[in-house]
Formats: sequence, C-alpha cells, structure tokens
Amino acid sequence: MEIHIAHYLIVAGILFSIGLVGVVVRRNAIVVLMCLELMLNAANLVFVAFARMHGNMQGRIFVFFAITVAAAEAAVMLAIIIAVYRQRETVNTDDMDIMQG
Amino acid sequence: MEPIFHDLLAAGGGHAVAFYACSAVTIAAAILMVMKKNPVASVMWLVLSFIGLAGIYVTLQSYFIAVIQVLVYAGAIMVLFLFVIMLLNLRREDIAKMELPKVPFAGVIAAILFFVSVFLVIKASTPAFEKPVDALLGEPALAGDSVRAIGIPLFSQWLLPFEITSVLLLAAIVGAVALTKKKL
Amino acid sequence: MDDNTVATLAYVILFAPVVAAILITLFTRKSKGISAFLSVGSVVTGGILSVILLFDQLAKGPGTPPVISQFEWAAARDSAIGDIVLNIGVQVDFISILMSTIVGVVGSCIFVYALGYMKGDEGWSRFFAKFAFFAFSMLGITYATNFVQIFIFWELVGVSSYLLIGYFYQKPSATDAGKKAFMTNRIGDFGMTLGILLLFFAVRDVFGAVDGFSFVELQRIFTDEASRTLLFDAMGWKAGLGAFLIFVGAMGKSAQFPLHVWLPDAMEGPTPVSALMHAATMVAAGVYMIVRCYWLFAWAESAMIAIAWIGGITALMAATIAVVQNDIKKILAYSTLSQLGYMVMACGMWGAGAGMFHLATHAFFKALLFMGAGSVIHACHTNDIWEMGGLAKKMKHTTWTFIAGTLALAGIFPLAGFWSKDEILSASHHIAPLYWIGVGVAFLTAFYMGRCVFTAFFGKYRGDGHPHESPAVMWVPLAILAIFAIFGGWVGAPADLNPFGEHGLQSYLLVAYTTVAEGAHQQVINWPTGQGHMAKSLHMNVAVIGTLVAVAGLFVSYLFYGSRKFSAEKAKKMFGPIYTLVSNKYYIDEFYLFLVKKVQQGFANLCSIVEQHIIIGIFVNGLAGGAREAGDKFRKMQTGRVNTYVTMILGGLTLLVFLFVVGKEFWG
Repeated sequence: MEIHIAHYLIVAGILFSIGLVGVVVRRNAIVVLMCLELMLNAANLVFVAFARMHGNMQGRIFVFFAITVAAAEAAVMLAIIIAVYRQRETVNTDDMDIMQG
Repeated sequence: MEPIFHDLLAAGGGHAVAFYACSAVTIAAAILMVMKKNPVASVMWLVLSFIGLAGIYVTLQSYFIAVIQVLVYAGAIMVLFLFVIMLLNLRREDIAKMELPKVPFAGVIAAILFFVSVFLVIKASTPAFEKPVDALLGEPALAGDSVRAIGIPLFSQWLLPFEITSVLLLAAIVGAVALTKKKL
Repeated sequence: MDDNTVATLAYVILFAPVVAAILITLFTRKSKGISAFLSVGSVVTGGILSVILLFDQLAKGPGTPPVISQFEWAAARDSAIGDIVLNIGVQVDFISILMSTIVGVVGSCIFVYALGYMKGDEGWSRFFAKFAFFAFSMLGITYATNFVQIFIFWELVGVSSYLLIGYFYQKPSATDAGKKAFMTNRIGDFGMTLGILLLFFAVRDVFGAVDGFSFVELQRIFTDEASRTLLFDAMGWKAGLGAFLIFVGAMGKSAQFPLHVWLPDAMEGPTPVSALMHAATMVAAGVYMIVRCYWLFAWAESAMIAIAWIGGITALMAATIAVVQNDIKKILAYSTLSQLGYMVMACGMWGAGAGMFHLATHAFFKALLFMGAGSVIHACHTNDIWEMGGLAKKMKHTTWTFIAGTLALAGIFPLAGFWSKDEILSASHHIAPLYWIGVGVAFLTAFYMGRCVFTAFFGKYRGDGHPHESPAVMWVPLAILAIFAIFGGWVGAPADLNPFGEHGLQSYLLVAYTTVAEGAHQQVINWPTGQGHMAKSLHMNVAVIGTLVAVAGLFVSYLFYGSRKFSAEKAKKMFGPIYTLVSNKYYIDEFYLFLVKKVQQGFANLCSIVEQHIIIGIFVNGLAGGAREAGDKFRKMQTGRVNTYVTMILGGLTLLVFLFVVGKEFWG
C-alpha cells in the first residue's frame, strides 16, 4: 500500500467539498464561517502536499501565512456576526435579507 | 522528537496506516461538523477534524505546520468561535429553525467539483507525481530541525510578507474592536 | 449734404418708427392720443427726411456713389476657414432713397388716414405700435447694406405682416389669414436663405476674404467682367440656381405665382393695413430686392427668363380672377397681384428701371384705391360692390379720387400708370408672348377696374344703409395721393416729354443700379439685351396699343355695367367652365388644401403609424417593457441572502472549472 501525493489531494478535495456543502446548506452564520475555515484548510493541505512533493519550503511558508490570514479573517468575521446580531437579533442568514431586490 | 516520527512512518506500512487513520478522522469529523445542528457540537467536531489534519501534515513531514495547525486553529481560532457562540447564547428553537434542506443542489455542486478534482489528479502525470511519498527525497534540512528550516527563509526571503502580516493582524484587531464595540 | 449727414438722416428715418413702437408698447398704451402722435409722427418725420434726402440726391445728379455706414453686428473669426462678419447699417443711394420716399410719403398718408379709419377701435395703440414697427421693418429692407440684414428685416416684415393681418384676432378668419401669409412667406424665405448662402460660399471659394453678403462688394464682383466670369465659371449652373433661389424670397413677399395665395386672404386685416402693406410697400419689397440686387440677376439669364415668365403668369392669372370678384378689397388685392406680376415681368426682361418706376407709381395709386375702398366700406359697412352703387352723389371726394386711381391703374394718358406701364411694355417688347400677356393684362385691368367703378359708384344705391362722405382726416390723404396718381408719372416720362428733360427718374435709376460705385471710375453697363438706357422718346406703337386696350377695357366695362347694353349674366353663361375655373381662383387654394390635407396629412399619418407602432411600440416601449419584464424576473434572484449569493458564486465557479478543465480535455 503505497501512498502517493494523489491520495492527499483527494483527501483535500473531499474536505473542500464537505466545506462547500456546509456553506451552502447551513443557515447559522457561525457554522457557515466554520465551513469556510474547513475549505481553507483543504487548500492548505494541497500546498503542504505539493511542498512535500517538490521537497522545498515555499508551500509550507505559504500555509504559515494562510493560517495567519485565516486567524485575522475569523476574528473580523466573528466581529461582523456580533455586530449583525446586535442589529437584527439573529445570526440566521435567511433573515439577513435587507438587500433583497 | 521529529526523527522518532520519521522512523515510525518509515517502518513498513506505517506511513499508509498513519495516513488512512488521520484522513478517516479528518473527513468523518468534517462531515459530522456540517451535520450537527448545535453549533457547539460543530465546533468540537471541527477541532477534531483540524487535529486529524495536523496528523496528515505530520505524514508529510511538515511538523512545524502541524504544530501551528493545532495551536492556532484547534486552539485559538476554535476557542474564539466557541466564545462567540456562547456569547450570542442562541436558543434551541432558533437553531432548529435555521436549518432548511438545500442538500440536493449543494450535493450536486460538491460532487461535480469533487469529481473534477479527482479527474485532474488522475490525469496528472509528472515524474514526481508518479512516485510514492516515501520515495520522495526529504529535504536535507528537514532531517535536523524543521523550525530552523522554515524560520530561515521566513525571516530572510519572506521577511516583507511576514511583516505585512503583522500589519494585517493589527488591522484585524482594530477592525474587530471597532465593529463590536457599542460606543467608540 | 456730406456723407455723414446723409447717413445720420438715414439712421433717423430707419429707427424713428421702431423707437415709436417701443415707446407705445411700453408706456403709452393707455393714452391713445400720444400713441397716435408717436406713430404717425415717426413715419411723417421719415417721409419728410426721405424727401429731403431725395432732393439732395437729385441735386448731386445721377450716379452719386452710395453712402454706406455700417457697424459690425456679429462675427465668427477663424483663421482656418476665414472670417464671417455680419454687418448692420444703411446704404443710401438713389434706389434706397426712392423706396424710402415711397414708404415715407405713402405711409404718412395712410397713417393719417388710419387716424380716421381706426377711430373708436379698442386696439388703437396696439395698431399704431404694430404699424410703426412695420414701417421700421420695411425701411430696414430699404436701407440694408447686405443680404443678412435684408433677410433679417425681410423676416421682420413677415412678422409685422402676420401681426397686422391677424389684427382682429377675435375673428378666426383673420388669424388664419395671418398664419397663411406667414407660412407662405416662410417657403419663399427658405429659398432666399439657401440662395444667399449659396452665393456667399461660392464667392468665398473664388475670392477668399471678400464679404460675400455685402451688396457693394458683390456688385463690384458682378459688374466687373473678369471677376464675374471667374465666379460664373466656378459656379456653373449654380449661378442661375442661386439667383433664382434669392428670387424665391421675392416670390413669397411679392406674392408671385405659385406663392401668391396669401395676399387675397390678407385683406382680412384693417383696410389701412391692406393699403400700406399689401398694396404699396411690403409686397413691393420683392421687386425692390430684385432691383437692389440687379447686378446679380441681370447676368443669370436662365433665372431672368424664369422670373419674367413667373411675373407674366401671375399678372395674367390675377387679372382674370379680379374680373369675377365681388368684394371690393378682393378686386384690389388681385389687381395688386397682377400689377406685381407686371413689375416682376419687367424686371425679368432687364427692365428693372421700368419695374421700379411702376413700383413707385403703383404704390401711390394702389394705396389711393385701397383707402378709397376703405372709405367706401366705412360708409356702406359692406365689402360687396353689388350692395353699393350710386355712391358718386353721396361721396364726392372719395369718388373723384377713386376714379383718378382707377384711370391711373388702367394706364390712361397722362396719368401715372400710363408712363410706367408704357415702360414695362417697352421692356417686354422683345419676348413676344410676354408682351401680349402684358397687353392682355392691361385690357383686363381697365375692364375690372371699370366694372368696379361703374358698379359701386354709379347707377342706383342697392344697399340699405345711409352712406355719407368720410371725415377730412380720411379724404385729405386720398386727395394727396390722387395728385401723385395724376401727375406723378411725368417724372419718369421719356426724355422728350419729361419736364426734367434728360434728368428724368429713369436716368437716375439706370445709373443707380447699373454702375459700379468706385469714385470716379463709373461705368455704365450694357445689359445682355442691350437695354439699360433711358428711352429718348415714347415708343409710339407701344403707347398707342397700351392706351387703346385700356380705353377698350373701360368701354367694354361701361357697356356691361354702366349702360347695361350687354348682360353680364349672359357673358357668364357663355364662358361657363372658364368662369367657374376663374371664379374659383384656378383651384390653387384647393390644390394646396389637397396637398396639405391629403398628401401631407397622409404622409404624417403614415409617419404616425410608424412612430406609434414601430418606433414607440417596438423600440421605445418594447425595449423598456422588455427591460422591465426582465428586471421583474431577475430581481427575484436578488434574495438578499448570503447563501443564495454563495450558491450562485459556487455554481458559476463549478461551471467555469468544468468548462475550462473538462471542456479542454474533451474538446481541445
């Protein structure tokens, strides 16, 4: 049983798809945010896998940055959710529809 | 510590076992995360999923990233999520009301994306891609000190992006405070 | 008088009426006396100053160079295409002074007459303001130095004519007549615009920096053989076209066929208006313009022939219609048309002097006739000559002046009309058909005027009012004009009969419109036909034939309407279809009505259908409606929910990935 880079990539694909389904299906803004994080991690996995394949550090450093950015992003997103909750008493994305045409 | 992992993985079939085990945990936890109605449960499953992912990073000899993953994601970010959920203190009926099945459409999209990526993976063929991960050359530096190996390029070649990241983090902090504070 | 004084006087003559009109409109509308004083005073001043200028000009002798004073009114300066400068000013020479004298003297008589005629009218001040404004417009044409200025005043004459024809604005027929006059004139003016621009650009193309609007500059070009040839070679057939287009403007103002339809209707205005504008001055503007720009027309032979024929046709057509009219003002209106046709015909046969001379004499006796008719209408309260009769006993002054005007118009020796008609017939001698048309018109003129006089002034009174003589303020101007009508013709008589000998009117006129104004270098031009010199003596055969047909016309009319030897009813039956045709004015109005109602309206309806259904239905409302419908449908997509947008983004992403990656694999 040999493990190829392809295996990692497929795992990343599965994770990405799960995250995607979650973003679309879930109505809780916090959970949607978590699904986004999952998708981001799927991408990170691809970076790391290819870094391993090419045997250099670039991909890993990129992941390092990605994690940092994700942390910042999560903080801001949660702040937004709190602000929205204060305004509308909800985190249900279906109720956030003042932009309706 | 790192060489121990190295040896363990290198031992006959150890790599494959580790990979499959970690992948199974990661994927199962991710699925459960999406399916759980209670966001607190979702967060817990996500933490597990990220820890599994850290294990996968270890099988790729990316020990430092694995550590960061556990510390930052499974630790800091997830605590933040948990904190917000607790802070908002959503009632159960609200949570129940939120879930509207849109599964078929999302499933179709996800399936298409997934199969396209699988298709691409299968189609791809480069010499490196053909080889099993064990047969790939490890980086010379990796054998010794992986923190050092990632630290040197980070503080030399990638110094500017690194510093910009700190500005980004500062902006995020200021932004988060500005957004959530009732009166500035 | 030195040039400065001459120019100043001309400015005073020109601007006095407009100042009066403005003062009346702004300040003195309530006080009738002051309004009338301002209006009449401005025109009488103009008349007196014009006469002074005329005598000055006569003292200076023939061929005095024109005095030109002008200022820049508007300019477009561009070094690449050359400057276009529009000037306003006065050009004082014999022709403009003569015209200004006609306007001033005839106008003064009519203004005074209007004091009596308009008595008690509630629009008194309005009338006199408009009247003065008309005088200003007409004098502007008279003194114009260039084509742009003449065109501006040409339009102002149209406006004031519109205002005065529609003076009784409560009457729909009057406002309709005003509109008809205005629109018919617009057709002519459009042609004139094109002609002026054609000429201007042609001149600029050939000579560069020459002011192609200025009369003096153009006259210099056209009278010099070398530059004329250069210009005509460059213009080719467009030279004749340009001259004809400018003439189209004259066709509108001077009511030449086929733009004559407005003039008879214009009789809806008060009689002084008819007398001043539609008999004496405004309609003469076209003829005046032809004479003014004679250097242009004289060399455009094809245009000249067309002008001559249009004049001849107008003269004959209008004279025949005048024979069957019953409204005294309509008779005079068609008579005016006919006489204008006469003048134009003369101009078209290189007889501009004759045309201008007839214009002058005609202005006097036709104003007289109109005012006489106004006096009669004032007394009888009707326009129909069959409801008059026997007025000779009751209105002595009106009758003798009207008869004097009639004889002058008929061309009986030695009244004014005789001399000018003789000049015209002599001028038209070399185109035989037109000569005979002229003779026929002379006969018809005498006949219809005789008919009018015998019916209205002799026999028994047939109306049911109590006609009485008009007040002195009305008949004194008649008497003054009658004196001009009787004796005025002598000044233009041929040399051997002229009291001034060789220095008759014609000698001044000929020199004025034939010479190049360049100080000492004056040069009399021989026109292509060799005419252009003052007649030394009367053309005996022309004079005899002219007098004979006039006397015959009067005699025949006496037989019909005086002694009633012949029955007019029988003659009507004899001429059956021709009578119907003529009494319906050759159906020209009906034809125009058909054009407007059926052709133009049909085309408009077609356009309307296209507009309503195709342009609005499909393009405007269709596109807008489609956009609205589409918007209504598409706005549903904007749920405002993040999930929807994310789903769409991912759907799009998936599609793109699928197309780029998979599509590339399968379809290259």
